[in-house]
Amino acid sequence: MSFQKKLLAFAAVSALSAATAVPAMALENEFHGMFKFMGYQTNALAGGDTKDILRKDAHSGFFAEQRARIMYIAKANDNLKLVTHFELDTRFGGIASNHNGTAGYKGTTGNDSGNLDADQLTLETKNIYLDFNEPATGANFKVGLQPWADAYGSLFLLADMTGAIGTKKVDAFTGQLGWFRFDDNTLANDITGPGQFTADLIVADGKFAVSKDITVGATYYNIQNDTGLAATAPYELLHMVGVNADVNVGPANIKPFAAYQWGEKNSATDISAYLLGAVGKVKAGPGAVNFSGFYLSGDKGGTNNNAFQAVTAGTTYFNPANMWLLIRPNQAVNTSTSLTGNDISVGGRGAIGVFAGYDGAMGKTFYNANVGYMRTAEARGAEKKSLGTEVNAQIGYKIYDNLTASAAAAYVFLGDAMNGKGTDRIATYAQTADADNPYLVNLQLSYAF
Amino acid sequence: MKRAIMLVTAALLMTTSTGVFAEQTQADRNECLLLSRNCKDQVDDIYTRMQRLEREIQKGTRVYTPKELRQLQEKLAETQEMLKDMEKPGR
Repeated sequence: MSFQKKLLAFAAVSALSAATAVPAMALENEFHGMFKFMGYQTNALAGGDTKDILRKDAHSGFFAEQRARIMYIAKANDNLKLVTHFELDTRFGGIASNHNGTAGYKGTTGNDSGNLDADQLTLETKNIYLDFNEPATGANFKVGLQPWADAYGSLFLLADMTGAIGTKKVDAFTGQLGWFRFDDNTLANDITGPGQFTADLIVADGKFAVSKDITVGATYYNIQNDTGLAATAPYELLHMVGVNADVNVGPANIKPFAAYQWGEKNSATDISAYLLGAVGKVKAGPGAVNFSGFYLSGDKGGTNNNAFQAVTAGTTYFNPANMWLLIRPNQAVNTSTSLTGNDISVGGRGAIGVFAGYDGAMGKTFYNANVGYMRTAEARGAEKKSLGTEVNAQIGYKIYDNLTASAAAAYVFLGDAMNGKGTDRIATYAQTADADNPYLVNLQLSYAF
Repeated sequence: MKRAIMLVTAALLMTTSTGVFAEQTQADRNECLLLSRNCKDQVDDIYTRMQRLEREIQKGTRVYTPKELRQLQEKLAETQEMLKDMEKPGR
């Protein structure tokens, strides 16, 4: 073979191998996202995340806000992908830090961009994590900044956190082990060395499918808070064990759960607390009846701490309640708060909540109506226990498959603990005596793709 | 020369007359540019993906092996989880 022919053959082989190698390197680029517009007429919210508005002669006004979330997934194959997720929040007109807008500039406060001519930095990072199946063990691993929710209706914790979690399925059993570092205040050049002022969560979760209709689970969570900061988590050490189940009986699905907590608030105070709860759904007519409830143990005050412990109020939820004001709404965007500032355990008093509703659809129209009641588990001093009763309803229309428009209204009949005239009210949440009943009307456009 | 002129005239006639005589078909319309539909690189939105996965799962063992069905169910659960994550409330 002459040199020219050899060169030609080499070129042909190279080209062939390059062509066949391409599919292995190909990436599937997956884009998803959502956009929500919310308009509120209310005397209870202003676009922040506070409970400062509950007072006598509360003013009613209108504000609007929007949120977009963009998710990009770089998928090498079914066993390997990088998930990235970002958020852009804006209150119409921007959020100011004072009334004349001179302190700071809109865009900084509230991470907003609703000011005249926009142009502010608003991109927030929600998730960046690697998700892969390890071929030798068949286990799935998620490493990086990722979402995590507890097995207790998110009464304990639902948050985006940095960490690593491994999941392995063996027949009907699914086991999960995870570690999250949700706070690290060690300086980059600290002489203490790394990992000294940290807060870690360890998760062990097991689920067993007894049959097609019954799954039982058990969990152990551990938090070691070495930051010395109550804002990170209001305790130094927390153990939490719990059991949960998911049962289908005829047209009903019921998810009961219970958990016990122990640990140390500090060197002088121990924790002993618990939660009970259940979430259910029963198909009825064109829709379904929903019901849910919880009991979070509380404390009358003093040194013995029997109050149920979350991580922070801002990372607790109870979405099955379908409330708008008593519990933060499950449809909320930027304004995501409740009458108790998302503190479901009401400052350690503990809480009892019961909720019921009906949701259904007729063609392109969907609707739901709900009622809920909440009270504290314990009263401190002369305080009363009743927080209030909420009634709400929503009706919506599917403009396209992935675009809906809806209107909702919610009204709370405040309980004695919120609208009392003197020391019978919980002053942390009711800013003045004899507070007005809070309400809201919500108009919404929701697009997901 | 005469032959060349005839050839050029015939060619010109053919090219100009094509549009007049050809019947316009659906296939000729560029729906991607006109209606943002049937684009070559079109991808499913999240609801369409879930609907398609549900449709495939309903075909059952008639079409898929039990292992493939499990794969489809896992993909459906993964997509539902993705939507839940995107619509998660909170700041």
